[in-house]
Amino acid sequence: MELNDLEFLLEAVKASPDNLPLRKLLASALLKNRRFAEAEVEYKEALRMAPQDLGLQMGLATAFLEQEKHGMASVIMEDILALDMPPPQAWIIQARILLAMGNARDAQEAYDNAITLDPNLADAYLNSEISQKLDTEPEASKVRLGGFGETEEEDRIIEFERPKVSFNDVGGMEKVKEEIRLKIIHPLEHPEIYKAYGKKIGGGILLYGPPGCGKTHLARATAGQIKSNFMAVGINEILDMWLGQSEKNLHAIFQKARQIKPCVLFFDEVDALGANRSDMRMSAGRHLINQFLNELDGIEQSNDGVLVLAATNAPWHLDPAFRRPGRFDRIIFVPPPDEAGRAAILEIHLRNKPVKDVDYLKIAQKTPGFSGADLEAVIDIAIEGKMEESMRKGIPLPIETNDLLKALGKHRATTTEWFSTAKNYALFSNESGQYDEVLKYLNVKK
Amino acid sequence: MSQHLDRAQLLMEQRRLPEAEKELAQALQENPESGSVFRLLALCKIMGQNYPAALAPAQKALALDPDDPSNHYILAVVYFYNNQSEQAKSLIRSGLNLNPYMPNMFELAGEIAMHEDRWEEALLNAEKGLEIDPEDTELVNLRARALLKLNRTAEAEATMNYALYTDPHNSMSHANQGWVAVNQNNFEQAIASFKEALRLNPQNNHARAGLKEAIKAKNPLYRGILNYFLWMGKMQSGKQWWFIIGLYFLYRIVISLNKNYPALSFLFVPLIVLYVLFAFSTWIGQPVSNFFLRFHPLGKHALSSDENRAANWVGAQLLALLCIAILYWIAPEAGWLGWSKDRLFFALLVVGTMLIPVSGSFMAPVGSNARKQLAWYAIILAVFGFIPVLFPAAFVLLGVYGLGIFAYAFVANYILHRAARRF
Repeated sequence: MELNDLEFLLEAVKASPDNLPLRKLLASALLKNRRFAEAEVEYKEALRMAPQDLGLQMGLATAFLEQEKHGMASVIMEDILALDMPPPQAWIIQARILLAMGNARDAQEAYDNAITLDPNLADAYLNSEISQKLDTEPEASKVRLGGFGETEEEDRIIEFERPKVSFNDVGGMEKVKEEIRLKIIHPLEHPEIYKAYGKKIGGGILLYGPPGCGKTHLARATAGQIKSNFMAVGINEILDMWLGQSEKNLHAIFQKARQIKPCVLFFDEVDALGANRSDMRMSAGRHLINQFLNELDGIEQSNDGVLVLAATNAPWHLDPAFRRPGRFDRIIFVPPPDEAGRAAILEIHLRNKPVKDVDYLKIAQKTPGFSGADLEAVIDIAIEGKMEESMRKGIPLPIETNDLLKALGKHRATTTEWFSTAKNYALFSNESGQYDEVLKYLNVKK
Repeated sequence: MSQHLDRAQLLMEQRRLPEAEKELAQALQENPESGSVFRLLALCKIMGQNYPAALAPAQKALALDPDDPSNHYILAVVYFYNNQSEQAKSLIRSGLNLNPYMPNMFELAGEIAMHEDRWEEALLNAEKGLEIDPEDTELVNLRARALLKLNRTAEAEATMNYALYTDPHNSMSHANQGWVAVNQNNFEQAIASFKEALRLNPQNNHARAGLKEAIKAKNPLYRGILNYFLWMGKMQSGKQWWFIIGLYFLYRIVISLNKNYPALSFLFVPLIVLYVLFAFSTWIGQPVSNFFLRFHPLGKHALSSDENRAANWVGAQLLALLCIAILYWIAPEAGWLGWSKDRLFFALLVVGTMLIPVSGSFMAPVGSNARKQLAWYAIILAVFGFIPVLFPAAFVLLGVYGLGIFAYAFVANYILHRAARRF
C-alpha cells in the first residue's frame, strides 16, 4: 500500500473512530508498512471493540513479535492455539515466535502443523531459517562423506553456506540471468502461479561455456539472490564417488539439500559425474550415473525447493540422459564477458589497488574473447611488472593504462581452444540444436 | 592400489590430464619406486602429445619393473612418437618375449610398419593381433588401412563392414569406411560416412580430412589430382622418388626430341604441356581446390584455420593473376606508363609461378621447421622475382628466379618428405 493511502486511512479512522472494518484495514496496513508500534495501538483499539476476533488477535501477536515482545506475543498465541480449531495461520505465527525465542525444535513442530492443515502456507524462507537453527551445532553444517580416508578426519566434508553475493554482483550476462530468473527465482517468489498451472518447482539448469567465465560465480549469486542455502560439489567429491561409497554419498548430499531447503545444489564439472557411456569404456558400471538421475528425478523423495545447478566445460561428454525433461532441461550457454562486462571485471579487480586514470573501456576493447580469469591474469602480469619498477625506483607507482596494454601482449585468451572444440561439436554433432548458441556467438552460418 | 592412482586413472579416462598428473605426483610421493605410476605418467604425457617429456617416465617405469611387458609397450610407444623406431621395435620384441599374447603390441608394430610404408608387414601384424583378439577395433581399422594401401579395396571394404558390425559407434571405423569409399571413387557414400564419423567425434581429424577430399573430388578436375595423390600414397617413398625423377627425365628427353625433330612437335608439345600442368597441379592442387571449397556450405567448416590461410593466399594470387592477364590482354602494343607488354608478361609469369612456393610452404605442418625453411625459400624467391619486374634494369635476377623455381620442386619435396615422417 502506498504511503499516501496509509495517511488517508489514518485520517478516515480519525473521522469515524467506531468503524471496525476501517480500523482493521488500518492496523494491517501499518503492519505491512513495518510501523509496528502504531499497528499495536490500532490492534488494541480494535480488540476493545471486538475482543473475540481471531484475526485481530493474531495481528496483535505479529505486531508484538516484530517489536521483539516475545512474551506478550506468545501469551496471545497460547490462547488461540488452545481453541478447538485454531486457524492454520496461527501455527505459522507460533513457529516464528518460537524461532525468535530460540526454540527451533518446537518451531519446526508448529510449522509442520501449519503445513499439514494448509499446504498453501508453505514458507520456504521460514522453513530454512528453522532448519538452520536446528543445525546450530558446528558439525551439522557439513555433510560428512564416509568411506574415503582411514580415519574420520580424512573424510571429505561438503560445507554449505548462505552466499552474500547476488545478481547485482555479476557483471553482464543479462540473458543468462533472465533464464535463471524464469526457472528458479520466479517460481520461488510466486509459487501460487506455478501451482495454478500444476507446474513443479525445481529441476535443473546446466551451465556450459569456456572455462573461467563465471559459471560458479553465477551459481553462487543465484543462491544469494533467492537467499537460499548453497552447496557446492566439486570435482574432487565427484571423483571420490566413483571410487568410494559412491551412491550412498550422493544420496547423502541430496538428502542434506532437501533438509536445508530452499537450497541450491551446485555440481561443478558435472561431466566428470555424468560422462557419456561410450567415453567411460573402462569404468565398470553406471550405478553412479543412475543414482544421480534418480536423485534428480526425485523418485523416492520430493525435490521441492531443491534447485540443482550444474556447470561443465564439456557438455558433449555428458550422458544424453541428463538432458531429458525434469532433469537438466534447460541448458544455458555462458559466453565470455562482452565489452561492458570486461570493463566491469577490470574495474572490480583493480578496485583496491593503486591505479591512475586507467581507461577500462580501451582495454576491454582490446580483449575480445578474454574470460574473467584471463583478465585477472593480465592484471597480475601488469602488477608484477609495476612492482619490479617500483622497487627499482624506490617509490610505489600506480598502475596505468599502458601497463595493462603491455601485459596484454604476454597473455592470450584461453577461451580460443575451447571454442575451436565447441565449434566442431556445434557443426557436426548438433542434431537437436543444443549448441546453436555457440554458433551464434561465433557468428558461424551453417 | 593407492587412492591417488585410482583417481589419476579416472581423471585420465576423462581426459583431465593436468589434474591426473597432480594425482600421479602425489602417488609418487607415497611410493617413489612404483613402475606403474611412472607408466601412467608417461601415458599422460603421450595423451597430451608431449612426446619428449614422456621419455623419462617411460624409461624409469621399465627400469623399475623390467619384467612387466606393459612397460616395454609404453616405452616402445614413446620411442615411436619420438621418431626412434628402431628402439621401439626392439622393445616390441622384448615385450612379446615376455608375453606373446598382447594385441596392442602387434598393433604398435603394425602402426610402425604403416608409418614406414611397409604395408605388407603392417597387414601381417594386424592379423597376428586379430588372432588374439578378433574384435579389437583398432586392429581391424589398421588391417583395413593396410589393405587399402595394398590396393585390396574389396577386402578393405569387407573389413570395415565387419568393424562397424561389431562396434557401430566407433568414429574411427566410420572414417576408415569413408576412406575405403574414396578409394572406390564412391564419394556420396564417403561423405555420408565421414559425416557420421564427425557426428560421433567432431574432433576426428582423419574424418575431417576425408570429408574435405570427398567434397572436392565431386569436381572431375580435382578427382584426377586426388587419385594421383592416392596412387602416390600407396607407393613406398623410395619408389616415389624414382617416379618423380624418372618422369622429369622423360620430360627432358621429350623436350630435346622436340628440338631435334620440329616436324613431330604436334606430338611432343601436348606432352610437354601436359607434364607442366601435371607438375604444377601437384603443387597448387590442394590450396586451389581448398580455395573453392571455401564456398561450399559444409566444406568450408572442414577446413582448418591454416588451410583457410593457405586458400586465402592462393585466392589472392589467382585474383592478381587474373587482373594482370586482363591488363596484358587489353594493353596496347607500346604498353602503359612504361609498363611494356613484355614487362606485364614477366609479371604474369612471376605471379603465376610464385603459386608453387606459396602453396608448398603451406604443405609443411604448422610451426614445423620445414614450414619455416620453405617460407624463407618462398620469400627469397619473391624478392628475386619481383625486383626485375619492378626495376627492369635488374633483369638478370629473373634468371636466378627461374633457377630457384626449378630447384624448388626438388628441395621442397625433400624437406616435406622428411617432415612428414615426424610427429
